[in-house]
Amino acid sequence: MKKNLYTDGVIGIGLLIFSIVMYFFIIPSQIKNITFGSGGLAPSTFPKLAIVLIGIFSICLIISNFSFKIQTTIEKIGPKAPIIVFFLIGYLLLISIIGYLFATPIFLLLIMIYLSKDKWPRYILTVIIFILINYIFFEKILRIILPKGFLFN
Amino acid sequence: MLESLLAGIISVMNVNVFLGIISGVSVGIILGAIPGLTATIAIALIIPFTFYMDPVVSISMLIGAYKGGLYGGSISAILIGTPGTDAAAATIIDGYAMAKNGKSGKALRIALYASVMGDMISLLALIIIAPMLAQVTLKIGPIEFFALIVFSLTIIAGMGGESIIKGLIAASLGLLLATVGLDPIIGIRRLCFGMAELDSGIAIMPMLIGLFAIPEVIVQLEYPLESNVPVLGLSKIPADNKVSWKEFKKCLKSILIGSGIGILIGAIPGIGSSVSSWLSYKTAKDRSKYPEKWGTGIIEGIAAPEAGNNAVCGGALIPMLTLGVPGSIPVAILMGAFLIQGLIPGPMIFSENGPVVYGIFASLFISNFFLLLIGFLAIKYTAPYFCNVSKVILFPIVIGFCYVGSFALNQTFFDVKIMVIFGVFGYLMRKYKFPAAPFLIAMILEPFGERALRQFLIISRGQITLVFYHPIAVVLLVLTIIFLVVFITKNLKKARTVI
Repeated sequence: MKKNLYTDGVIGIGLLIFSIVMYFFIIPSQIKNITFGSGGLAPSTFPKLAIVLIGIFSICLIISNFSFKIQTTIEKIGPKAPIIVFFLIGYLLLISIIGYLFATPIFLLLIMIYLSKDKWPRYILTVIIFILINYIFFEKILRIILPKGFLFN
Repeated sequence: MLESLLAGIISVMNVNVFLGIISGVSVGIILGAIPGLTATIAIALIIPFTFYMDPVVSISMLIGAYKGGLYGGSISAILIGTPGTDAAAATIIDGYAMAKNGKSGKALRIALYASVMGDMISLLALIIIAPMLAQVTLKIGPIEFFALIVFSLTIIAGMGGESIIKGLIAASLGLLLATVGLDPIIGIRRLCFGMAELDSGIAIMPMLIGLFAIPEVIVQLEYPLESNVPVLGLSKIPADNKVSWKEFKKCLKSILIGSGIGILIGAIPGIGSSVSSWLSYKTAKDRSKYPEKWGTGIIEGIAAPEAGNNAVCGGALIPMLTLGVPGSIPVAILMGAFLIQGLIPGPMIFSENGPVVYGIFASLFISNFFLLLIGFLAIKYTAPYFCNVSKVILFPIVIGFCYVGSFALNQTFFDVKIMVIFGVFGYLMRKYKFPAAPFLIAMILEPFGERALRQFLIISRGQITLVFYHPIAVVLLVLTIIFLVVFITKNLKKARTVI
């Protein structure tokens, strides 16, 4: 656990800016302002209401942090977290290029070896079994065509 | 009601339901026993496999996984002193102490008996209370329903985490994201940014797979992996691995206390099985004749929290089935599964889908039997292996399942992207202590709440003051304001003590 004194306040400011941008720029450009029938609410009412609530509670968060010095005990982001997120995004891109059935063994082996190089023969076996289960269950039994990727589509 | 229940029992007497329950309970126990994987993740990972099943089979399998997961958490709590799930944390105190005394088999068995009994008692409560409550809730109109949703969300946001304000922000973010898609009354696009895939809104299942499974994977892998902790095995003396009738009778009081608390806590939105198990432990200890022995490895110290956390399951299904309001994350996910199957939880579910609902009740009974059976087998043969599964292999595989699972429902790659986005978002929420429960539940309930309020305003020709002719709605809205004030004052008081 790590205690940064003003993290909550900074998050609050970010959310407040987000709510202002959403309320004044995004919502008017993304939702047509039409009402239907007598007493009907405009389609933008609920998104605006949610944004107003985010804005109000962000102000509460900022005040509670800067004035009352309330800071929740946030957790430190681990050293490998950004790399794992990178792996997740890379896997996504790889699926879109070569498809799920080819991208998955590459991703799984790379991430397993990145985490520990000790038992790589076991990794290969696990990956083969995993791919077979996916192929049989989704493609053969459920007849779902798994993403093929633009190279094989 | 008895006739409907009998019809339900007959409808589930087929191989598919049995196979569904067996696989649900087994996967739940295994995933629950692995530290880092919870009952919630078990349900989220199983859902993709249930899309194409019959509603009764699908829901039975998921509830089986929920129950199995709740019990499975106690296996690692007892054998390695690390709870497989948050709900099993209280079980460590006496469970691990008992295992260290060489009685791990006895501890695992009493945890199983207490879990099954807690489940059974809460199921009876569900079967008795839910249809009666549904009769009452049938009378509530759109504005009462809207007020009920606002009230429940406030309670969930206020009780969910360390900071009430962050809970409220999370709920508001959930409300905002739920408005993405076509407007429910007029049908024009809202916040779709020109993407046709968003017309039907953000798909719930990829979102929740991302929100719950991916952050857990990142959290488990973000630091260098530690070597596995030693697992305490079963004793070679048979008596140490069994629970005698005398010992079981000694635990009955604790089981009943735990079950009662579990049902109550489950029925109140926003609390969950972790609180239930701690409260059950504490209450049973306070009422014990020898409270000083608690913590040294006594059998009642396992029975109370285990009955307490499993009884939450039936209790939590009461508001979900009768009011359409899920009180906790696993139940919100289950509600998502109901919606996918075309079953809309709420007062009408008993009249519109009676046979299916009673079929699910009947399958819950059967799943208790299988929980007992599979639990026995797990204790005897496999339990120690679950606790020491290699994280290097397991968590990448979980990621693989998340990708294929989020693709499977709508068969669109866009859903996989949604899953990844929410995975990273959920991880940041977790790190910065924004509770996920209010976010998810707000996202599920917003469409119902919005539709209800807009229906009311159309009927009342825009006169919002007509709400004062609806006393239940007024009471709920006043209670919402009172709770909001109480929560925020409590937060500020806590802050002053921190300073």
